[in-house]
Amino acid sequence: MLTITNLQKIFATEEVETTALNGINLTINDGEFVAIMGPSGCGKSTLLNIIGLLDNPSSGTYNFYGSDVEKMSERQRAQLRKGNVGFVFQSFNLIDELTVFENVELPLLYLKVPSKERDEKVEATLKRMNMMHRRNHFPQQLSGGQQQRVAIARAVVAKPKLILADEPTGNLDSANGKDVMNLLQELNEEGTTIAMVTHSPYDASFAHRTVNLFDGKIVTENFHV
Amino acid sequence: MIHNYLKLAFRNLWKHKLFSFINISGVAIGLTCFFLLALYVKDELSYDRSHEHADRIYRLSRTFLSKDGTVSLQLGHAAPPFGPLIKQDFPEVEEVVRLLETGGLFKYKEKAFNEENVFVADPNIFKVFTMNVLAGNKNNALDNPFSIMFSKPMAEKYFGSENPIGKVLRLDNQLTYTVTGVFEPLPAQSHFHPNFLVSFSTLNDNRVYGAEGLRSNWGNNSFSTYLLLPENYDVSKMVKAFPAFQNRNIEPLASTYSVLDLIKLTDIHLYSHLDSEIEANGDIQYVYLFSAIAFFILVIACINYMNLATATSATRAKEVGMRKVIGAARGQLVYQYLSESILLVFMAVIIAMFMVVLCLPAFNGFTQKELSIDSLLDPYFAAMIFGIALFTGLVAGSYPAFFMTSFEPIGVLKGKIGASLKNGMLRQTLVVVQFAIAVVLIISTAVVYSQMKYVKNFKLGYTKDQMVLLGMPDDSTLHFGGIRQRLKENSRILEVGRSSRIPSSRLLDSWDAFVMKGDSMAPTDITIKSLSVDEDFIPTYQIDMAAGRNFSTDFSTDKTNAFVLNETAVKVLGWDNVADAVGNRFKYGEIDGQIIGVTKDYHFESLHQKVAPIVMFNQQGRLQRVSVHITGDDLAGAMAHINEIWDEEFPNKPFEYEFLDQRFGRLYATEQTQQALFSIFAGIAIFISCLGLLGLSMFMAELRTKEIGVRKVLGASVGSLVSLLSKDFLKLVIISIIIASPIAWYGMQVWLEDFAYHTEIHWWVYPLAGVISIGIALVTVSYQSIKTAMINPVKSLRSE
Ligand SMILES: Nc1ncnc2c1ncn2[C@@H]1O[C@H](COP(=O)(O)OP(=O)(O)OP(=O)(O)O)[C@@H](O)[C@H]1O
Ligand SMILES: [Mg+2]
Repeated sequence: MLTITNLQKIFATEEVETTALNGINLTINDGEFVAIMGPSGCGKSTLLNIIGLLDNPSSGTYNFYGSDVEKMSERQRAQLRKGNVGFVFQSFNLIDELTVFENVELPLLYLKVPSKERDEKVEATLKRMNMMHRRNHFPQQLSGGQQQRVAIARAVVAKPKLILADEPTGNLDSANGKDVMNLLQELNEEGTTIAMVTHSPYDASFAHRTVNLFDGKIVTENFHV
Repeated sequence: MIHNYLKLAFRNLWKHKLFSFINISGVAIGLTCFFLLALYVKDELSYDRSHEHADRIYRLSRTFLSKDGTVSLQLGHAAPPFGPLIKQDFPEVEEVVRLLETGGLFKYKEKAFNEENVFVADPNIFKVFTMNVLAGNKNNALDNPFSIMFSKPMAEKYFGSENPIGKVLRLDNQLTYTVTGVFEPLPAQSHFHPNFLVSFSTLNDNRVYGAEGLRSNWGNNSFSTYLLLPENYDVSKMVKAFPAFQNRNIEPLASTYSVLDLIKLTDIHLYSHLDSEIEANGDIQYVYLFSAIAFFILVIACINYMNLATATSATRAKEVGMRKVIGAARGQLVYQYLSESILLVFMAVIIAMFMVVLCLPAFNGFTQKELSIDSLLDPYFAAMIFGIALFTGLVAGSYPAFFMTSFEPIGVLKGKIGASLKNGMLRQTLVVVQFAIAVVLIISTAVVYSQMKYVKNFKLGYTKDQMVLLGMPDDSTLHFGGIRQRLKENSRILEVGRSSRIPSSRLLDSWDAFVMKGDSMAPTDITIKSLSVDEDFIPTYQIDMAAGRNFSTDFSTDKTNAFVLNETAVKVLGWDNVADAVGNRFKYGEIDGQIIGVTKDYHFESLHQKVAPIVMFNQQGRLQRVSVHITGDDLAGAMAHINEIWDEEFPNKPFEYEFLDQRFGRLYATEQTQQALFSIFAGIAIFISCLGLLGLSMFMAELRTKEIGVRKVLGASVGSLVSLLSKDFLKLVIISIIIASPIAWYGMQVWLEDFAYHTEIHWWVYPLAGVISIGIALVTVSYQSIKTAMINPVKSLRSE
């Protein structure tokens, strides 16, 4: 379970201070699928990054599966992140120099999973994403939808408890977008907690709950049944 | 994991082919230079180390002091009695061996050659020096008088495949010697290279030297004397005991004018530059200089790598960020990038090894060395190469590795690192350091070049071109008048003069000088070097008279008690005006006479020496050196004429000659090769710097392709874009020049001070170096800038 209390995030640049998040209280239960929506610049990505332990809040507390993480160093966060959190980005962020297989294999390498087991897991994941036939291709040789499927494969291969997706369908056409959403829903049905930022009400309809942000604050929460 | 890193490293190298090429070739060229220089330095450091007791062998040297206590002569040789007396007075000395270098005409059956590197040696030579005796018995081969040992190549030259032992040959048409052994020549890295060893007992013969002379001739300091000392012997104690030793054995107060010292055998080659050495030695200064260049070239190559790798890291930032998001610890990433740079450096090492193999023959020809690839493969050296490669890889890779992995993952994914790259303080510092080194090298090369030109054009005060040098057999001096006559019959021969020494060699002899003080002759404290000449020497060399006249056959006393001084001598003797000296009484050694003339100063010795005070007088019997000034139009005809007369006058002596300008060239030959070497490596260093600059500017241009496109759409001109792209680099280059100039000035000042006569560092070298380096930088950078600025903006905008 993730519990965020009275969280603030302030970006201080030379000229201005931007309060990106201002007093966020949010709990995400295990197995939940949460969508985060809101206008551009309202702090969605910032919130997602904090949830995903990529960034620290300026104030407030954050309990990540029982550990208080708000004061942790980047190093400690990295340790905690490894194997527990998977990320999917709007722009895929695959490593261009690595093949599909190698991209997906990467989290397992950093987790020091033995090679045989690694191969099995990567293959299983790729099969599931229907990308096995492209295993030796480089990202640049794939369509956007395919790239995102690989990115999702990479996010889930280590079987993390939590998957964070920042506009996963933002760069995809509707058919490919639907594909990705179906995948995320399947993963969620298997027990993975998912938090997803999106601009699309259609995508949000796959979630159990939608959190609406405005100007760094949660303004409403809708529950879907 | 390492497998994974390497695979990725290769793909990255391939993806940025051009940068990889620039990078690898920069490092490879740098390493090639480094290895070549390392071989050179290693060779210089390995002199005389092949002897088993190398660290216990010391050479005796003798210094003579003038009356005022200043050093007048420093010899790497000593008088013959020293050796046995040291053995007697210092019983702990294990062995003392003396070597006397000679040469002469060797005749075996119909074969006759003039030989050099003949050493008369005490029989215990093999107990001191480790030499391989291939035939004969090393314990007694040099016991009997008139025994001679040949080096292997010499034995083959005279006796072919025959057994040399017992063969009898004649030396100088007088005495016969019996071959008692054959030895393997000493390695090239030795301060002496005997081709022949003659038994020392031969010298006891009065026809050769005489036993009495060996016992009492304290003035003949031509014996190289080596001591084999016990382990852990306190050498300084022995040196402290030398003054008393001399006073006891030579004469009381001998230590006031004669100083003995010891130098370690292995230090001779690099540290001993006395007035007499067996062979020209190397110089530790150049070892330092070349080590420094080797190091700098490596530094420049490393900086190249760092800069290019850091620049290319912009394109890899996303990769780094993503790896971090997925869970890579910073350490793992650092490790990845380090293994990448080490891989690249090892590739460069392999290429460098090939280049060393290819360059070595030319390098050897140039340096007159016999460096071989074998020493690269010698385990220590190989270990060193491996170490250097690893170290270079680590150093070169560390900055990009730590730089890249320091990115915050979210920032990177947002593409935030471009800005930090452009302003990278450290990166700019690196470029400045690199260019500062290059500028120092440019300035140094310019100064070195102008000094060489200065030496070449220096007014020596005598003619050195078209001068043929001959050595007269000692017995010829009396009937030389006839020979001279016959030589001059040919119109190609301008003048023939004789002297005891020839210009470009050292002036080593001096006697006591006396001048009138009040109404009696008083000794002076001044050392005046002696030079015996005949009346034709001064005209032959076209030396100008400053006052008085040259020697002349019209005055019979000119052959016995007349002196010609040089200007410096007149000055140190106290006459303000050269003309005042003429006509005065002067006594030199035992010769009492009159000063008949004063020559203008001429540079008899090398330009490393200041012009010494010289007294010239006509001393029969010491005029063995003949200088023939010929016209330049028919060299072959002139030489044929000289040869013909030589063969008639001296049928038993082979005709051998030398040209003064060649000799002169040799005087500066080591310097010239070393300076040329310096220029070459300086050029390479500059080239590598430019390679780095080129890569960097290409990269920066690429990074800004989109910006340039936008600017063009908005109406920027090509010119303004080129200056935009080049400005940053030029700023760095100018800072480098400002930093480098004083450093170069200081270094070159120190170097020039080694020359007694040297050029000034002209002010224009700085702007010159500035213009050259800015020019080079501009050409390198603007090529890329112009290319980028010319691209159709639509293209560059679409490239995103
Ligand atoms: N590193 C940063 N430094 C300064 N300000 C930042 C930084 N990151 C985000 N911000 C600011 O914080 C606010 C929230 O940004 P955030 O990226 O979370 O918006 P978002 O809701 O994801 O918008 P979008 O839908 O356009 O992606 C914005 O005003 C943004 O300018
Ligand atoms: Mg966003």
